[in-house]
Amino acid sequence: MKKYRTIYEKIYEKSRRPGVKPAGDYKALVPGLILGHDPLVAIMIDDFEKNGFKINPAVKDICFFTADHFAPPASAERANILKKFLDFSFGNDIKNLKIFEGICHQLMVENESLAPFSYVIGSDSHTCTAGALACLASGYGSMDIMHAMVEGHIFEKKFSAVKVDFKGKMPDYIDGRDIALALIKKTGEGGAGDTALEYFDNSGALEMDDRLSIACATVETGAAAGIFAADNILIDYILKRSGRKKIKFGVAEIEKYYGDISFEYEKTLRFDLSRINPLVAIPHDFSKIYEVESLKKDVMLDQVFIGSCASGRLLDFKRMCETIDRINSKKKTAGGARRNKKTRLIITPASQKIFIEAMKAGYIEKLINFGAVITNPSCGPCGGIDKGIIGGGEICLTTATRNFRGRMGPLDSSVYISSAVTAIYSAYAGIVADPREIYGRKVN
Amino acid sequence: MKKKEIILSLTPSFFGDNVNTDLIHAPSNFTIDRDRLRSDYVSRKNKNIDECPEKIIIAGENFGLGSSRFSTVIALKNTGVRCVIADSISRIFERNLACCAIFAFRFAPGFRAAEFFNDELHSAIEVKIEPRAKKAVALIKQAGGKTAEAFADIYLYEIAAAGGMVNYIAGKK
Repeated sequence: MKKYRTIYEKIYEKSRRPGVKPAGDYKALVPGLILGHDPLVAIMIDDFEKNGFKINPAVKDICFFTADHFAPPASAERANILKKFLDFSFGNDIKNLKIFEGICHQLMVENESLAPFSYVIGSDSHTCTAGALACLASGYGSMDIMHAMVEGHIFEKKFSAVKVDFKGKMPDYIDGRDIALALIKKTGEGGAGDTALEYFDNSGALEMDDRLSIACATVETGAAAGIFAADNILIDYILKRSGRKKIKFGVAEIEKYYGDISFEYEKTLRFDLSRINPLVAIPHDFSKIYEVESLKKDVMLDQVFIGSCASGRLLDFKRMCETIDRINSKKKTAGGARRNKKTRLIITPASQKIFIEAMKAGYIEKLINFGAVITNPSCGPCGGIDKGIIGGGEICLTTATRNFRGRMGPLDSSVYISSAVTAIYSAYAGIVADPREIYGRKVN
Repeated sequence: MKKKEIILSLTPSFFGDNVNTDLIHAPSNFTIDRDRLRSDYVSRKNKNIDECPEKIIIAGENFGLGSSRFSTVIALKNTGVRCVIADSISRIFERNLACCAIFAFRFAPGFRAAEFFNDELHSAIEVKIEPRAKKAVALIKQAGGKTAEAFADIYLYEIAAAGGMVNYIAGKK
């Protein structure tokens, strides 16, 4: 039996397509799922159709397409892009087609068609989010996805794996987005290029929603993929996702899959979760990530946006509401605390499923009473799309994926990134604020 | 595919470190109408470069980090960019460049583009591209005679040399 060194290496090798000649160092890999979304499928359709390309029958049923960016479209041009995408999807009989149900990465992991240990490719850079389900998942451009749809495989080279060790339990005011920022801070923006990360939650401290947030940020480290090692937390997630039906995914299946892996790494990054403090990435990229308390002057906020594939999950809603409860308990505001009157607050659930669960739990009502606008599940202002674009000179604190110049508005607008807990407390304060002020300060 | 040498004479535009996709083409300007895609960033960085028909971007570390939007590389192509040579290039972006028929090369580790190119920024440079077994090599020659080498994976080179991914797929049929 071949002994694989790492999880990444095993999924890579198991995905190889026999009989296809490598292109230099690039081997032909057969994906288990191909993710596509409205704008970045639409942009390749003319090329696809003019050249008489057909979807390879071997991959047709693993195409998972979502209308989530222009959802619903806010202009005639975007309506036409959506129409082009839908015409193509219906015309090619794409079975897994989700329209306005949520953000593609969240819908993908909620769907039973995504199995642990899969090789996943997608037309969006944050396809790496599926790494939380022990998958090797990577984003590609539209033309690479078109190649996979036509040929039934994609050419990719093998990268070196780096181990990321998480230990300890984080405080209540820390979430997956803080840990993701800590990870990017440690690797440097793009600093993990030409690697694949393998995440190990040694203390079992990270719930799936936190893992999804961390895996989502893998692309900002530069790594091709970030794979969480399968464990009991993943087993529980898969069982819950299946409605507790009898499925074959448990400790025995994980031990069997990992049985020929030696878990040997040339490099390991270590994190003590108990020592992570609230972090913020300041404009206009991830090269400057600081502890919130170290900001030297007040950053006045025009808007707070909580959502995107990096956040907006049920655990984020729960933590936001716990934060509001703490504000109410500490500040004793008559009628309940509300956001700062000058700071707009936009919150977007990552999927309709999350939206409904958040409603049932009473989170939506509490957030609306706090002064939030709740939008339908979609990408929203992340990527400058809609439902929360900021104006010239304005400042937004967000949990979304990126803070690049021009990301959510004009070039002279600014985006800061933090966790949902920091963001909701900052919406109350009207400035980027340290949530430990209401959680009780902990000095490291 | 026949492997032959390619020689380009290109006007350089220097980009520095950490130039991300949103800077190259703002996400709010996304369109699938390819004729409308332009990268204002190239013009903003280098005045008077618009009239030069064929350009090369010389970038530092981490070029193209961010989105997978194919519109970003089309914007560069429509702005006249034929080739990118950088200290390092983001994985998705590097593939997108090749798929859009823009040659993408990386300098050898330890080489710093900023140190090599700072004194002859505006002179046209010659890029001679030689495909070899697993890599394509770009031999870069400045007007003053200084030379450097950069490298591309042969797979990505072949896609770019074919005229982009569409031609690459069609050529395999």
